[in-house]
Order: sequence, then structure tokens, then C-alpha cells
Amino acid sequence: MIELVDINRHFKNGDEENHILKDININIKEGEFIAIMGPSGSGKSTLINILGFIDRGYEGAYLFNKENYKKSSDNELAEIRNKTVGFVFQNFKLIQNNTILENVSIPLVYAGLGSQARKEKVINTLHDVGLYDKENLVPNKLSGGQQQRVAIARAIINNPKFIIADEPTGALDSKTSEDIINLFMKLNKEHRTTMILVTHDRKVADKADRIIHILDGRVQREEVVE
Amino acid sequence: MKNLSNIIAISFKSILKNKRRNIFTMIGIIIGIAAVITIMSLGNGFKQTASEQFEDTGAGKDSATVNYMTSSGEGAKDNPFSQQDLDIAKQVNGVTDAKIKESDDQGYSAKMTNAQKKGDVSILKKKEMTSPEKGKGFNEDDNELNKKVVTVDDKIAKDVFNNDAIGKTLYIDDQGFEVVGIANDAMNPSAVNMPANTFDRYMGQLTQDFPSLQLSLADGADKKEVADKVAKELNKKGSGAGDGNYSYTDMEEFMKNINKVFDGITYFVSAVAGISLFIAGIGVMNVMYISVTERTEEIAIRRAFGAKARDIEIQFLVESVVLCVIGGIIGLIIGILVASLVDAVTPDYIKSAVSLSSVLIAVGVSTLIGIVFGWIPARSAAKKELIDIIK
Repeated sequence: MIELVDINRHFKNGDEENHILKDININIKEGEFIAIMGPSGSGKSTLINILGFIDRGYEGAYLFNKENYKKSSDNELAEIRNKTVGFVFQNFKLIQNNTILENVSIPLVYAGLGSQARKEKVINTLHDVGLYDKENLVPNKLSGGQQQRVAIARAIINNPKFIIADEPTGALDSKTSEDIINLFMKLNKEHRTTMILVTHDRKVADKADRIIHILDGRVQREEVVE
Repeated sequence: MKNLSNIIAISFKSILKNKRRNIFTMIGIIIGIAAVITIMSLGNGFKQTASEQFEDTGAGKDSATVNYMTSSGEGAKDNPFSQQDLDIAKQVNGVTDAKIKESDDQGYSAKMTNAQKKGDVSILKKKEMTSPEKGKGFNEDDNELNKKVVTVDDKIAKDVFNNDAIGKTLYIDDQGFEVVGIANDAMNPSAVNMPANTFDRYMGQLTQDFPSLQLSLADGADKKEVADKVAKELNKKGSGAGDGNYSYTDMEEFMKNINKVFDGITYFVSAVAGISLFIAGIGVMNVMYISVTERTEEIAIRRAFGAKARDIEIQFLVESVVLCVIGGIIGLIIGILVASLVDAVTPDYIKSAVSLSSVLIAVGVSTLIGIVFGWIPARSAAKKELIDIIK
């Protein structure tokens, strides 16, 4: 489904030019659970920005279902993000003064769904991630684990082709981390949603089908987990 | 666009989520719009009263008024508009009819002939006088029945009746009238109110101090030219030609000038209010900029989950427009209330008239401010590159 061919990414920083990603070649099949590991500054975030159609300033080819979206306009990319990608962030990134219902609705709003249909779908999805009767609360009334569940509900609500989770357990304790990872695995098995999970944590990465190690902007090695 | 309504709903919710700041932002708009609406309402009201009054004095369409002033400036002793004079006027080309014009708030002078005191009184014709300061006054029935009753003012009550006037008889031109109440009239000293029919029956020969002649004109006649000609004829042959002067005052011209002055005042106040609205607009822009900066993360999240740049722009633009329109509507209401209040506490001739145009101006101007001053921050919000703000 996802094919990265010789991806390079440079960032200009004043007169200097930093070479962040170097000749990345990755293949991800539909339904796979991928973990990306690597130390800080190794280029993981840059990589997932490219995968998530946020960054277009790379060289090389990123083929999604054999199609290249590098030349697509900003508006087209917004639509592609809306339909194909779900993001989960380390610090949850929920809008603090909006209710859970409004937060989870965001992808549906831009897909053009009416408010009644949105509400129904949000409540069902919240049930899928194990949250009940929380839709009218604001995020800071919930625990970290619950907030991350809200974020996951938001990521999956529009049935995306794949989910990008950037250190989803980084701000959680180990027990909650395990719950969240189990939730990811459940979604991966039941809905066959492709997962791309960035993590520092070996225990988390071990749950994936395959681990991609990144160091200094290069794919160091790939490891299939048995 | 299907999700436009979604985006507008989001904007409304965002405004409600930051009530206090938004209310303070609105105050500028509210004050500006309220000032414009107040002045416009009062200006329109004054213009209406003025034109009604001029209509009343015979300055209406197809009619003109010729006045008579004695050289001494005092009231005319004899009627300067006799039947003969009316005929003279009617013969002038372009005049279809001529009659003596009576004015409601001008008295008819007459002699008081009580034994205790003699003097001049000014009789005012009234259909009814049901709430004098003292006594029971007279009503329409008394008027129909030509009852010989009057009310007098404080001065007559004191001079003639030693403050004990009710029930006594006042003689005017040797005819007795029962005093049924005490009522004062600021415009006419020694005022006597009398039922109009009674007056016509017993005092019909009296004339007003400053009578005028009302001309009805033929269609298409030049008002000024015809009326001037009538005045000229009367100055030659009229019965009062020796003692004074007949003249035509162009009320229309006069009214136009008054309206011009009022328009000038309205424009001046509007200009001042316009400056305050401009400053309010800058305030809106400032707050919207702060809002955009504070909500960078929200913008990033929305963009990451599929919002287009235009969706973000519309969201912030709608927020600023809604903010301004709400302010405009509150300002409109306050303006109308203030104008009504001024109407209520000031004399009759200051009135408030709210026109549709003032409502349109309030809503239109505030929408315009919202668009103009909201557009720049909304644009900057939409232009943020997702990769720069998703950290």
C-alpha cells in the first residue's frame, strides 16, 4: 500500500542545509502493524510527516496505492488526509475548550456530515475505544489514558486507510500504555487498519509485526517480530 | 458547499467559548452603532415633525400662505383679510381658492368686560378641555351643545376673581360665560379656553392677532410667483394696506434649509461615530489576531484531520462577522432605546423615528467591519503551513 523510494529530505536553516532523511526505502502492506524505532533526532517525525501527507518538500517518490501525491494541491492533500490518514499524537492534541464530542467530530465535520449523523457515529466510536458517557466533557476532565482513547477515536472515526501514531504511549504510565497498545492491536486485527507506530519503547514495539529501526536519517535495519 | 454550515456552527461555538473577551470587543461596535442610530432616529423624527408643522401652516403642495404684519408689530385691530380681500386674491391668476387660515395655537383677542376688571384676553378654541389644573373643564358634549363655559388661566383668576374663579361668570364682550376650570397656556398670556362651537356661535366676528390667508393653487402654478403676486395686489388694494404689509414667506425654502442644517449635524455625528467604529474595527482585528495565535494548535489539528485552508479562513471570518453583527444589533437596540428616552423626556417637537434605513445601516456597517477587519487575521490563520505548526 505504501511505497517509499529513495526519499531524501533537506531542511534549510539559515545558510546551513541539514540532510535529515537519507535514501529511505520502505514498503508497508495493507493491514500491517509497523513500529518505527529510533533515538531523538533520527528523523522519525520527518518521516511520518511525509507519510501523513503533511510534508511535500521531499525528493524521491512516495507512492500510496501506486499513486504519487507530490504534485497535489494543498486542498487535495487536505481531502486525502481527511479520508486516508488518522493521526494520534504523544500529547493527544485535543482542542481543550471543545467537548469530547466536538473533538472526535472534527474529521466528520470536514467530510461534510450533518450534526445528527456525526453525534451517532462519535458515540459508537467512543464505545469502540472503551469510553462511555464522556462526550459532553472537556478533555482536561479525563485521565491521560482516556484522553488518548479520545484521540484514537478521532483518528479512526473516518475509517482511514492507515493510522500514524507518534509515540502514543510516551506520556502514559506502563499500565495505561499496555491498554492503549492492546487497543491498537484490536483495531488492527478487527478492522485490518494499517498501523504505523513511532516509539522509543521496546516493549511497545515488540507487539508490532515488523520493526523499522532508524538512525541518523537512514533505515538501519528491519526486524520481523515473531 | 455542504460543510459550510458545519464551519459556521463551529464559529458560533467558539464565540460562546470566549464570552468575556468577545463582549469587551463588541463594546466599541455597540457604542458606535448606538450613537449613529440615536442621532439618525432623532434627526428623522425632527424632520418629520418639522414637515408636518409646515404642512399645517399651509406650506403643503398646491397651497401657499400670505401673512399680514402691521407696521407697529402689534396685532391687527381690524381683520386685514376681509371678504373683499379674499375676492382680490381669488382673481389672481393661478389661485383657485382663498380663505382665512386659523391656527390652533394662536388666540383670538377679545375684551374682558367684568365689573371688577377690564382688559384683553386671548381666546383659544378647543373641542374639549377635560383635564384643567383645577375644576372639571368641559367635554365634547358641552362643545356640541354650545354651552357658554370657559376655563381661565391663573392670571385672570387672580386679577378678576381673587383666586376663586370656579363657578363665577366671566364677561367677554358683554357676554357671560361660566368659569369651569383653570388652565394655563405658555404661548398665550391671559388665555381663555372656550368650546370651539360656542366660540363660532357667539364670538364668530373675532379675528386672530396674526391672521393669515391660505391660497389654494391651480395645478402646475408656480407657488412663489403666484403668492408674491397676491401679496402685491393686497398691498395695493387690501383693507389693511395702510397700516401694514402683506407678505409671502416661502416656507418650503425655509424648511429645506432647516433640513439641510439637520442633515449636516447628522453627517457630522455619523463621521465621529464612523471614526469610533473604525477604532472598534481595529480592536476586532487585534482580538482576532490574538485568537489566531492562541489557537494555532487548534488550526493544526483541524488541518491535520482534513480542514482546507479555506475552511479555516471562513471559520475565523465568520467569527469576526458574527461578533460584529451581534454588536451591531445590540447597538441598534440601545440606539433605539436612547432615542425613545430622549423623545420621552424632551418637549413634543423632538421625536424619535426609526427608519428601515437605520436598521440596514446598523447591520450593514457592522457586517462590513467584521469582514474588513476579520479578513486579515483569518487570512493569516489560513496561510499557516501545517508542517510549521504541527509540533
